[in-house]
Amino acid sequence: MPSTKSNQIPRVLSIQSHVVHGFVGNKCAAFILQLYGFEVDLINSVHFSNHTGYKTVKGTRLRVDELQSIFEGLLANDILEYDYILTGYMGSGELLHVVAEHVKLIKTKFPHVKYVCDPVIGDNNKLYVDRSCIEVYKNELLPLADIVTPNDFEIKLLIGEQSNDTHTENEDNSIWQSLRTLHSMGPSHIIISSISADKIGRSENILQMRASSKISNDQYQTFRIDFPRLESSFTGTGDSFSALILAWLHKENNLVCACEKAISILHQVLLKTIELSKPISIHNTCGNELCLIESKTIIESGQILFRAVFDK
Amino acid sequence: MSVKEKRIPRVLSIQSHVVHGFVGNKCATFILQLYSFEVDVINSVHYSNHTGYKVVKGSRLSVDELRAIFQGLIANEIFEYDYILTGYMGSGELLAVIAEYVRLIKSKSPHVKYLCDPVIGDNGKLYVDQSCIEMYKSVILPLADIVTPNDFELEQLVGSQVKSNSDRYEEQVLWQSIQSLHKMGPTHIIVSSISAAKLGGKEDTLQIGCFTGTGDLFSALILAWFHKEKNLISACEKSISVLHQVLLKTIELCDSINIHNTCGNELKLIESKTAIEAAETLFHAVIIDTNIVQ
Repeated sequence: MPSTKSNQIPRVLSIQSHVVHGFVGNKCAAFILQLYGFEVDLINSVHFSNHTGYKTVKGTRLRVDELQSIFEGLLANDILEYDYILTGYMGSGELLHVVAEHVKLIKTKFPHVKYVCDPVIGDNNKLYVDRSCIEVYKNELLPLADIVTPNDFEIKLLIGEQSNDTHTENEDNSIWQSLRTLHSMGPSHIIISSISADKIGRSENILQMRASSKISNDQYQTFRIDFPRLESSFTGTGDSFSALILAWLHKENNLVCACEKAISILHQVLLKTIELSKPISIHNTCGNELCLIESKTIIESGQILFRAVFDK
Repeated sequence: MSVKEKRIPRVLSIQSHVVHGFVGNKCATFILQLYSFEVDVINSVHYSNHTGYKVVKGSRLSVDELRAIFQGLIANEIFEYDYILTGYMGSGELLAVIAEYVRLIKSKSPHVKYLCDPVIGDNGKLYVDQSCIEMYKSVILPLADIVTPNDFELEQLVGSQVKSNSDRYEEQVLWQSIQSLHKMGPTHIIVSSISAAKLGGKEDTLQIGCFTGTGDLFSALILAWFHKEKNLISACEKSISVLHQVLLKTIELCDSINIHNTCGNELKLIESKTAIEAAETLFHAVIIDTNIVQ
């Protein structure tokens, strides 16, 4: 995927949360993408002391008029030229709507732009955002997205399915069906970063990433990557994963390689985080903060540990 | 200088955030993270771009919002830092809140070093309110360990006229001003660039253009190299050298300047990653005197 001018480094517009302390949202994306040589423009959807898993969270959310204002400034100065757009957590449907408007504007002006959408809605049957977000994702953002990275809870909400816990082979098929339905809503590439393998009749110690690329109306390339579940829990893994996917998709120009890289690197970052086993703050109920800075060498070397297995 | 040997050093940086470009926290975060610091980042503003562009849109952090952030960090016992770094702050009130919390953090972790870039203005022009100058003098400087004023800011802080009537800059006055500033608190002072013409020397013939973010880049480099080298002389040699290479790289890569940016080139920091990491020393310090008399 070429840059707009051949001697320029690739440019990303990333719209995610900002935490003063720790690594989620834009803190993850900026570090990873800058390390990989991207120029990253950062719109912070919130300015919080820390992520929402801590006992106390203080700070402010970006308002709709503030977001509009930021976009006006970028437009007025002719800065709104990107190779990629990346969005993550956005607290309200109204904010998402403003984002959608401007993604459409940018894509109209620069048709080569690729939009990576992490549709942050919730996890483990819990919503992180207002319900209004779901409708905006469905109707306005998914049609614009080139790549989308939902978890298994989010994919069900987006396609309008009820959550179920069947542990049968049919679950396997129903995942592929869900992917097909999601493709029809817009995105050419879908990555579900981790499904617990026990949901598909295998060991609960294995997690599985599933991905699908729509090649034509009835042609899909689907593949999966198995990787071990680690005992600890972490925050910021989803945000780090989308940033890694964006970076490696740009470098490799191929979703399969990008996924192998992203899953492998993320796994090594988690291992490094465990190795450094910092005492988790008693105020943090949500697991370990990623040791991203200490993982700089790991991130840069991009070693592949896990390979894709194709379906059909 | 870490409290626990194994963990990486931690910085709390309170500066401006621009969506596009490299000033304030955009500079500091990239540099310090590249040098393996953990950086906690409080954004004093959230602007589309720096103020040299035709249009600037965005919002400033209010005093209440800043307090709330500090309250959140303290409630979660996230106040253990090795360094604090501050830059542009739009109002004296914000500076007062910062002084409160710097004092608190220093009382909990006495080894903390506070690097203060007293952003007031440049080339005879103020960027901030008069109230900021008062706050720097009264509450901030007494807490600062290292301070990095430019020559205009040095004048504003010590209240002296560093330019004499004859348009020739007296080196003596400069050193006297620095001594006065030491008395206001900081152990280390770096006046990052004075045109050699002001000191009666030749004017620098390398007028290569103007840039934004160089001061913010410089303070971040000083912090990083002061930590690594443990001495101000090496820290300055490294910082000036790296800064110079970043400027050269920026000129080399600058194809077209954005016509809406009246303030010079955005630094090509990302493209300078290798130069920043390699940190080749190009310039060496000349020690003038270790016993400056009163």
